[in-house]
Amino acid sequence: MGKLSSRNMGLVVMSVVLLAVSLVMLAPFLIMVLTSFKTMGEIQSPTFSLFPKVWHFDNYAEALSRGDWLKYFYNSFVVTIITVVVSLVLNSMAGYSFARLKFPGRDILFFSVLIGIMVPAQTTMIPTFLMMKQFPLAGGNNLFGQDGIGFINSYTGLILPFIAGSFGIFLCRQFFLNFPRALDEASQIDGASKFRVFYQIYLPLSKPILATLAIFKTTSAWNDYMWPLIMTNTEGMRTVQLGLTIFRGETNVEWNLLMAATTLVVLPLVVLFLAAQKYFVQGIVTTGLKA
Amino acid sequence: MKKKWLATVLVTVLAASVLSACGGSSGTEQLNKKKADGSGETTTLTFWRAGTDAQENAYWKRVISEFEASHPGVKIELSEAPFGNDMETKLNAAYASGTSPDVLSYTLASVAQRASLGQYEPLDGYLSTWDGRSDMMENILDTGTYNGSLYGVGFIPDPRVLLWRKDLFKEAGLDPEKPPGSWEELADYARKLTKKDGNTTTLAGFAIPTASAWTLWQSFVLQNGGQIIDEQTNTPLFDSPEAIEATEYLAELVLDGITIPNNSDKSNENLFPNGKAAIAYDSPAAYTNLQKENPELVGQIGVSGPIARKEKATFAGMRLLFMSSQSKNKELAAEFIQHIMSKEETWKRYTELGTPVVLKSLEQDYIQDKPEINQAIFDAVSYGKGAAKVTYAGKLSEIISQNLEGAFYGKISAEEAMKQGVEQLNRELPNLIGK
Repeated sequence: MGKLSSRNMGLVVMSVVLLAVSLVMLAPFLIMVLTSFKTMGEIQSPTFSLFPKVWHFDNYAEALSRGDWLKYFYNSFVVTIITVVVSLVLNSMAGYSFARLKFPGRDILFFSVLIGIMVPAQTTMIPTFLMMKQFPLAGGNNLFGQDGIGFINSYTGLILPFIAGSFGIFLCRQFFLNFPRALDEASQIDGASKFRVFYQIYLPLSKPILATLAIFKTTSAWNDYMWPLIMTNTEGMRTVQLGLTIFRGETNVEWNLLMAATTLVVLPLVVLFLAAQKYFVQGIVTTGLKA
Repeated sequence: MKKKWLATVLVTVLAASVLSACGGSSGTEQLNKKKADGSGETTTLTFWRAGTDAQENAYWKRVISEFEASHPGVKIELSEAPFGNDMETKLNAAYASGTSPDVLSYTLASVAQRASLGQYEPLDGYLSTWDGRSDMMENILDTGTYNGSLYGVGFIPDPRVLLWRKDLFKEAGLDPEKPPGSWEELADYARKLTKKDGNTTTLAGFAIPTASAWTLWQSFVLQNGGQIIDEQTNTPLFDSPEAIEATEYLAELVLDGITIPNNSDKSNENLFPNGKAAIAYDSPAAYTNLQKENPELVGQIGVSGPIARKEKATFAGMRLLFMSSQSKNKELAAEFIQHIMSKEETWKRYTELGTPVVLKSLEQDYIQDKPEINQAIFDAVSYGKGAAKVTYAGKLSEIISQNLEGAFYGKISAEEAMKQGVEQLNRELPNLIGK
């Protein structure tokens, strides 16, 4: 009885701690949503109040009227969906190869992939930009990548650098390592090709890792700001993150409108996370990924 | 079932590739391809501006459509990026890849840095036959001049003027129509106007930033007859008695608690437009924004030029028009710059955006339009001074601000702060100049 009580007590303490942590995590989102209904005068008032005195729902209409948001959302959806779908295919195939196949130089190759995780994205940004600009036969370029603008200001330029990545390959490899060797051997005895084993046996069992990777990829592609900023030049190619900058002036920020637009921009990610939460947790557990 | 699933994935990937390729093609064509039509070739000029706000975006779209209408066969592509690191990164990538814009609206701080790298085109040759050049205020032309060549044409000045709250003056028993006329009076007024709740200041008598304070500090140093740096010899001059006296003056006020801690780089912390200060040196935009958000304060804000001590001086930011040295359409780029700087366009810019004029011929019209504020703003533009034109302007202001913070929080004396700052800069100068 005493043992049970102490266990219950532990659960209560843990629940309280987790609740407190959840509130801390949720607080910025709550403040964002509540700020989106305030006036600027209220936001700048010397006395802070959490809830708006008057709920200004019209802030949302005002924010959306400021730019071509349909176009921004369309661009973000195109870039994110293609990036996620293509990267899931490439990363799962590469991860499978590193985990289940034996070929010369496999470990050295995998080690070089791991190095990719350690290099900060900022250091590769300009070299990648130059590669996109000098891509042969793209955007008016000749065979040597000269005379044109390559993939600058295009969907391809926004997608291509992100369809494969060290992190995704590593994640998939770790997942595929968990399967017993007997599975491969049984498939070989039945005469299945390596590719068939991958797509008919491993892939259907990979929903958790694919969902996890999809969430990571969606979040990074949807939230990416700096790459679209340097890669695109016209208003028609703006993504939602670039769209949010229209509320920032040189000396002032329209916080209420910015928060309204930001609330709308994060909504698709919230929906995606809620829909894939079950698989996401499984994926985290099975690959040993922990915060 | 599994085959169907695989087929779906493959079809999606294929569709993605096709869509991606299509997007690439159309996007690319949008940027700067020349295309033949019935009337001949279309020449595309790229124009980038720092800033992303909707009001100025609308202004530029109007300017561009009018320029295009008067120049058949010319198309101008507008691109925007926020000030600061965002624009810096975008420009660095563009210059590295040879895709920099033909014309750029950017900051004074970039003049020395990018002109010395050969990224900005000297404009003297292109503007030598332009009548409007002689109409520009001398100090505006000087602002865009580096090593004897004109690299940028100043067109949006942002001078700091003295703003004060008449309602709070009345409350404190001060004459609301009489701003402080000397440093001593400013300190006296600031102490009378400051409101505190215990040890916490709730209303700043005078808005002094406690972080990134170099712009306000520079105004006081120059007013006191001091200098910041010798731009020709790269000799720091801010440990002079004049600069130390100005620093002591500000540090004493901060230590007395007449301001609320704030960072001048963070617009949301700016005290005066947020109604948290009674007196401030601030941009005319602060005057407009405060009244816009608080209609009850209309007519309750005074504006005047800075307080004279030994010199008339204030800080003035500036946005300039630059031409890229990589531009393949330099003559057309120069024509676009001249169009923006024309008398008609300068006046439209004032009426649409409220930006101060920079042409001598518009002085009277500008002042008469809103005499209560425009005289002070015009004066401030005429003798305002911005960031030093050195390639290490960012490092210079960082070192000064860091040491000012030490003095403001009483960690070191004003004299030590300035001497320490000069030592730091002298230590770093060999590397900074070498870059």
